Amino acid sequence: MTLAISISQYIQKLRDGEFSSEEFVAKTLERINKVEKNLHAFISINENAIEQAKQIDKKIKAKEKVGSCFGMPISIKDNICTKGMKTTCASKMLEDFVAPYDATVVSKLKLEDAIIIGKANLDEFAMGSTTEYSYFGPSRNPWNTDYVPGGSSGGSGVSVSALECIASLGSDTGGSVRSPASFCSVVGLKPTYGLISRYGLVSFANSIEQIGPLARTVEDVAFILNIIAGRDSHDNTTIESGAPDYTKEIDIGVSGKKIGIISEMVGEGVDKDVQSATKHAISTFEKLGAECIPISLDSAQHSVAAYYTLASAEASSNLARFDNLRYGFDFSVEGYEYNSYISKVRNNLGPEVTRRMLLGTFVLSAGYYGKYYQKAQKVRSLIKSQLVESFKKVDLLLAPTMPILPFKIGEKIDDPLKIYLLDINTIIANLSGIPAISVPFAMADGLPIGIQLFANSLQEKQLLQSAYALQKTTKLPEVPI
Amino acid sequence: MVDKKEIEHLSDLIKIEIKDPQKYILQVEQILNYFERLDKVEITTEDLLRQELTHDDLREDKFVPYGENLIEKLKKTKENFVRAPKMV
Repeated sequence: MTLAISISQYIQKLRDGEFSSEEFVAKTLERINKVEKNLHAFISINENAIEQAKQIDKKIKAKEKVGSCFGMPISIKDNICTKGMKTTCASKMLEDFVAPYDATVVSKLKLEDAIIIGKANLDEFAMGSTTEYSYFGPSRNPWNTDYVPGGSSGGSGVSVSALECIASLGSDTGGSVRSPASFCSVVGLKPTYGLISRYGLVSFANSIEQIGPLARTVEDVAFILNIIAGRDSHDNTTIESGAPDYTKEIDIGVSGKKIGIISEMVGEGVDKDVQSATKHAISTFEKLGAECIPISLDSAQHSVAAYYTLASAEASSNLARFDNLRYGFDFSVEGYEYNSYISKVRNNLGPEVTRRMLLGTFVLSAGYYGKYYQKAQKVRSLIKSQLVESFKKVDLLLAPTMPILPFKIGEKIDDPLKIYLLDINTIIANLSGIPAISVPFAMADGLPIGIQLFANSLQEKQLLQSAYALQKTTKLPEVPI
Repeated sequence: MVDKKEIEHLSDLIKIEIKDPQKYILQVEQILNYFERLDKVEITTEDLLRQELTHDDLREDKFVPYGENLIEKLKKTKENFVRAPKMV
């Protein structure tokens, strides 16, 4: 039995009796046991996974109604609440937090008989682009374990790439699903803001972040999106989407489509291997019958500054709730007054979280609010309006997901601004709310390169169809671990 | 622009005891210098991106009781109480 199969193959093989859910889950756990010491994709593993698979097998045998996931193992980023399992956000502040309820996305997956195989590693509170800021230690790239897997949903990217699950859910605030998708050679989608409920996602930057699926194929991402998308009374920012079937007509092709190549994201500062992969992707789309034209998006050059201003501001407010009193590590309140206790325990937040809280508080403070926060909000509007104008001319936009190849663990950790600048190609989707997808496209020096496509709000179907067309032209190596 | 005093003031506001403020001074200053570019962007519009909700979009305001499990895993010291440090 191979674990390197897509969702549709899993369902087919299970129906054909080639294996049971229990056998597949057991083999997945074996795989996890074998590779985890090198990869560290997970913070915790579901100890009841086999038992849950047995229950699903029983339902299948008894010909009872079975959910569309048929017991397939899925990993969940550890900032998404899972009832009865730890949800640590990769922080010491929540190292013992067991969620009393399921996030809406988790409830929906469970309802379709998916098995939550484990909780995936991330940068602490999803703040980072490399997964090096996890309190529990970094995840490693399965293509070369000396290298970062991207982030902040690094554990999600690694677990899908290294066959430790079939699919994963991450969260994308500034590129946190697409970055590990690109660096680990898997598909990752950041959906339209409001398409997926954030209920049960531990808040970092509410006006920007979205949960998104990662999987090995575009069809698999579409399959998961079908399950988790939709309005939710627990999240009033969710929007009506008309519930299209994202898997239907996915092979329709790109003939006649107009694709805008974002000039600011393909030139200066982009690694030469990434540049040549991008050129190849453009010519591939042209061969498939699409028309590619350059599009200038000059506001994009301010996106990193605007994003880190806004995201830090929202983070500094959101993280004020963590006081170690209701959850957290063992630290007695005896002998402390309130402020000194909170200050003392919060000293255990990692350096990046502390940095964001300092920045967020600074940009919101009197005297600086107009210069930073308000200006960032206006830049955000400008980016949105330039994108709206662009989508009057083209159906999709294209850029490399990451401007550079994966790099060595520790290489950039002392230069936070350098790490922030890695998000330069992904952030516009978060600030404007439009959907974007990263598709594995090429390799250079044994390291993956992903190509990113953007579509207008709620145009996920078109986005997935184009991503599928691109994916079909690629022939990429198997993961070497 | 950013000095030790500023970092100490901010750490006081966010209630984090920062043992080594020196470590953050250079990094925070470097990042804020980068943010300076926002001030130079020419913006003609006053529009801000917002998502509007009408009353019809809001769910009915009704009481839904939570079970005991909500507080089951809290760090409780006595019965159902969480111990907090004294305020003064």
